[in-house]
Formats: sequence, structure tokens, C-alpha cells
Amino acid sequence: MHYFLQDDPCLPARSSLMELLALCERRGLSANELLSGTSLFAADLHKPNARLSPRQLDKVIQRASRINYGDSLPLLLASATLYQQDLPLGKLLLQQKNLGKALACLYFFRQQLQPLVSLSVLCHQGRLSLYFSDSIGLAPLHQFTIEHSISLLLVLFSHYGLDANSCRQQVRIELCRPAPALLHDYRHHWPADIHFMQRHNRLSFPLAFLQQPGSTATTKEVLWLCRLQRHYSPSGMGLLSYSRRFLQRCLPVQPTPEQLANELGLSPAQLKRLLRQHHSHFSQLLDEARQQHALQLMLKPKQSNRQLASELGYSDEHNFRRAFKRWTGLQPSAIKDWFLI
Amino acid sequence: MWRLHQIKLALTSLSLVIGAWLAVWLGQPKPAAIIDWFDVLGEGTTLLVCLGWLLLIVSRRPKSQVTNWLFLGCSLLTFSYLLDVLDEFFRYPEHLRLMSWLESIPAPFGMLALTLGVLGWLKEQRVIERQLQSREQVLREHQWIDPLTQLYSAAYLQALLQREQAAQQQLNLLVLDLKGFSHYNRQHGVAAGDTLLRHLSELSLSLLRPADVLCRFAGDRFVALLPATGTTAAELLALHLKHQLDKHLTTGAAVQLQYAVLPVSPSERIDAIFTRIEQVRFQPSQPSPVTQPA
Repeated sequence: MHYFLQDDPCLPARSSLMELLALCERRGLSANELLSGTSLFAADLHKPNARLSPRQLDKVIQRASRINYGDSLPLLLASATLYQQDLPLGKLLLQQKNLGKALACLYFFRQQLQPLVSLSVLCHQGRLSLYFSDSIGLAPLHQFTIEHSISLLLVLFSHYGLDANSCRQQVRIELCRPAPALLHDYRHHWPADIHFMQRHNRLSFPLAFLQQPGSTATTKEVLWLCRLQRHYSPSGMGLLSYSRRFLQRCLPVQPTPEQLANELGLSPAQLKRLLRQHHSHFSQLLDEARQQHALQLMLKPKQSNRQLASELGYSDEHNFRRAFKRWTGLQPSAIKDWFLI
Repeated sequence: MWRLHQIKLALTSLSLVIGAWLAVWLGQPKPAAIIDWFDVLGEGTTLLVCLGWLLLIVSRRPKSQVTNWLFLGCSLLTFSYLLDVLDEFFRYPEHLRLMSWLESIPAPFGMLALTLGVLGWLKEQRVIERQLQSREQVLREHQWIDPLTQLYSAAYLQALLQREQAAQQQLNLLVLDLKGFSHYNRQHGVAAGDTLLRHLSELSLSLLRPADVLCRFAGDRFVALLPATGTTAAELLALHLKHQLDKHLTTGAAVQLQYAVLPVSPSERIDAIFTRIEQVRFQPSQPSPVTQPA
């Protein structure tokens, strides 16, 4: 399997759900209430290879968010996940030599913790930017996973000894969502410069953070356990991120919907229906793929707009400029400022 | 909740069954032509509503004297209304007065018991309100209660501050924070951290005065609103709180309570106050005299 859909039972329950259930249980919301209507049962979830589908997880999360701490739930869950006693990946992440190694581990084993996050990493002028995009087309779940991943990163930062003040000055978080009524919860859990209502979901921080030293413990056994755990984690990625990656690889030749359908093993009509189910369509995916590709290309030194336009499969420079303005709100020439903020 | 009331439920069902059985055994069924269906509808609805009350009491009330009165009242009424409905379908012999007694005598007693129950309930509510006073002042919004500590959250603090400021009150805020809480979480797991927060909130509630309101601001930060308290008195209260909490929290030296007193003037904007709470500088921690080695 290379990609999964909203209803495929692909997420391991142990890593994605059990901590959430425990957290809610301590706040007076029982597992049965949380799981009602999802055709999941608390007793089954304890089995080591119990799985659930993204749609089921989405339902559980929406129900959990209805209690009044809705907004800060992903923030609470991040440290609960990382400091979970029986999660080898948590131990592995916390015992690396430096923060850079820990983040590399997180990236390598991300399917175990965050199979639903579609991540692209860009590095420019001494800053690392992580972009999060939707992989499965479920808006509440998408929002939740993004905030959960950002919280995971910030918990790691503080574990590796970065104090809140230097984080507040140097870490920048941009979220597409509107600002919540009370911001203090975010500011308490996220020592960073937070902006809402942005065009992208991204987190950026200085590369120098990666040198932050950690522990000296040996991690061989934990690493081995993590490798074993890979059997339980989903092997593919969400339909949307899989399609986006395929389209990006096709550039500069502009791929057709038929090619994508062929790659996914579907008929064009099936593809169209599936994408509609995932709240997306072909031209939107192509646009997002171009956007990703454009940002990557612009990291290389000195390319004219005409070269970029042809590499992205645009017919002329003008079209490229207009698309770029739509993505970032800036002219292509101002891209440097955009990376530097 | 209903498991607490099993015996009462069994007795009620038994009496209802006996009543119905007596009606069937003693009475002659009426022919369908003379049954008054309007009566059946009206009395049936009353019976159903009464049964609904009974179920609500059983499913929502804890075991208590008040519950017993409410339950007794409702079950007597249910019994009487059941016979009332049944006598639309059965005709009893003229010389037998038993069924009409059974039908009319329980109803007034049931009403009486219900009234006693409601009176007790009101009294109970008054006591609970007094018990709640440190958790809330005059505002009540159940959706703002933090589910972990059962304290009010920052949204409530905001509303309360707005109210106090409208009344031009000078007041002091006491900010409490746990130093080393994230380290504690890391070592003992988040479940232990949650328990610690719960203990902390319970203990601080018992130490604060009845007029103070304690809210959970965010994470391990709590804010107590101290009305009509001077800064010196607030500092003293905070110091007392710290000593007592350090003595009673069983976490050892790993976690320490730190505090700060923030005077708030009536003209200050709420978001400015919130920013001050977020960036507050705590009193330098001194070893408390209780834990100091002799």
C-alpha cells in the first residue's frame, strides 16, 4: 500500500489514541463517551495491533474538543505522548546527543508519531522552516495534527535546554486558523512568536538550535525497538500528500488527471470522486505541488523568473508571477524577505 | 447512579406490579365502547411524566435524605396514577372500596413527600453554594470550568475582572506557579502531573479565604482574585500559602511553589493584565522556615 484514504484503518491505536483517552479520562470524559458512534471499543484498542481510520480519529478529536479546553488539547497531548513510558520513540527522541539528531530521528520515524502530517522542510539563510500541509482532507483532524506536531517540537526544544525567552525571540509560528478568543493558553505552552490567519502553517527557527547538546546515554536498544515498531506504523501516506508528491515529481511537464489516476491505480472518474470526498480537486493539488516546488527552487541562487516559470510548467512568466503572489502575497523578487521573517 | 437506588427501585416496581395485578384480578374489563379515550390520554400522560421524574431522580441524584423524599413522593404518585389509568379499563364490584382507597390515598401523601423533598433540595443547594464560594463569586458559567481541577478557567477570570473594574474596585491578584513542573512531568509522567495539579488546587482552595476566587490560568499557573485586600495583606497571605503548600505537597524539593502579587487598578485593560500575568516575575524563592534544617 502506498497511500491511504479517510476510511482505511491504518493508524495504530496505541500511539495515536491511547494517551488522548487517558488525558480525557482524567478530565472526566470517559472513553466510552469519547468513542460512541465511531464503532471503536475501548477494550479492543488495548490490543497491540489495533488500528483505526483517520475518519474515526477525526470523530474522537471533535468530540474531545467539545469540552472547554478544546483549543489547548493538542498542546497538552504533546508532552503526554513524548513522556509516555512505553513508547520507545519518545525515549529515543529525548536521549539524543543534540537537538539536530533528535529532529532527524523524529523525521525518520515520523510515521510512528505523526502519520497524518505532510511535511516539507526548507532551509534558507540560517533558518529552518517546516511547512505542514493537509494529507487526508479532514479539517479538524488536520488542525489538530499540526498543533500537536508544533507542540512536540517545542517540547523537544525545551527538553534540550532552550529556555523560553530565547525561543520566544527566535521561533516563529504561523497558522492558517483564526486566533482563539483567549491567547494565553497558546502563549503558555508555546514560547514563540505566534501569528494567526496566515497563508501557510509553518514553524521556523534558527539552524543554530540544532547544535543544542542533549544527553550522553546510549540509544542502541531503543533505536532497535523503534525499528521493530515500524511494522505497526502505516507504510504509506495520505491520498492528498501522495498525489502532491507525484505531481511535484512530474514537473516541469504538466501532468494530466489521467496520469495521476493511472499512478494511483484508479479510473479518472474514481479519482475525481475520491478527491471530492477528500475536499480537494486536481487543479488545487497541482497548484499546491507547484507552490512547494517553487519554494524549493527559489532556495537555489539566482534564477530568473522565466527559468522558474518553465521549471514549474507555466506557459509564461506572467502566470508564474501571479501564482506566486497568490501563494505568498509577495512578488518573486521579495522572496528573501519572506524567508527571513 | 441508578445502582445506588436498586432496593428503592425494586420495591417500587413490586408495588406497581401488585397494584396492576389487583386491578386485573378484582375488576371486570370494560367493553371498548364505553372507554373514555380522552380520559385515558390525559391520565396516561400524567403517569408517563411522573415516571419520567422518577427516572430522572434515580439517574441523577446521589444517595441522600433529600433523594429519598423525592423518590418516595414520585413513586406514591406513580402508583396512584397507574391505578387511575387502569380503572378506565376495568370496572370494580360496587361493594369493594379497596381499589378506590388505593387510588386516592397515596396521591396527597406523595405530594407531601415531594414538597418536603423539594424544600430539602433548596436547603442543600444553599449549602453547596456556600461550599462553592471560593471557586466562584456571583457569576456562574459551567462551560468555563476547567475539567481537571474543577476550578474556573481564564475566561471566567476575564469576566470577573471586567465586573470588578466596572465597580471601580482596587484589587490584588495572587499569581501562583509551580517551579520545575515540566521536569516533574518528564520524570513521573503526565498522569502524575495532573494529580499534582489537582492536589494543589484542592489545598489552595482550603487555605484561601471564602471571598477569594481561585482560577486556573493556564497549565501550572493559577490566579487568585483577592477582593478588598491591601498589598501587604496579600503578600502575607501568599507567604502563608506557600509555607503550608510546601509542607503538604508530597513532591519533595523537585517542585516548588512560587508566587507574585499583582495590584490591579480599575483603569487597566484586561489584555494588559493578562500579559502581566503571563510575564510576571516571581518573588525570589527563599527556603521556607518549615523545611529548613534545624
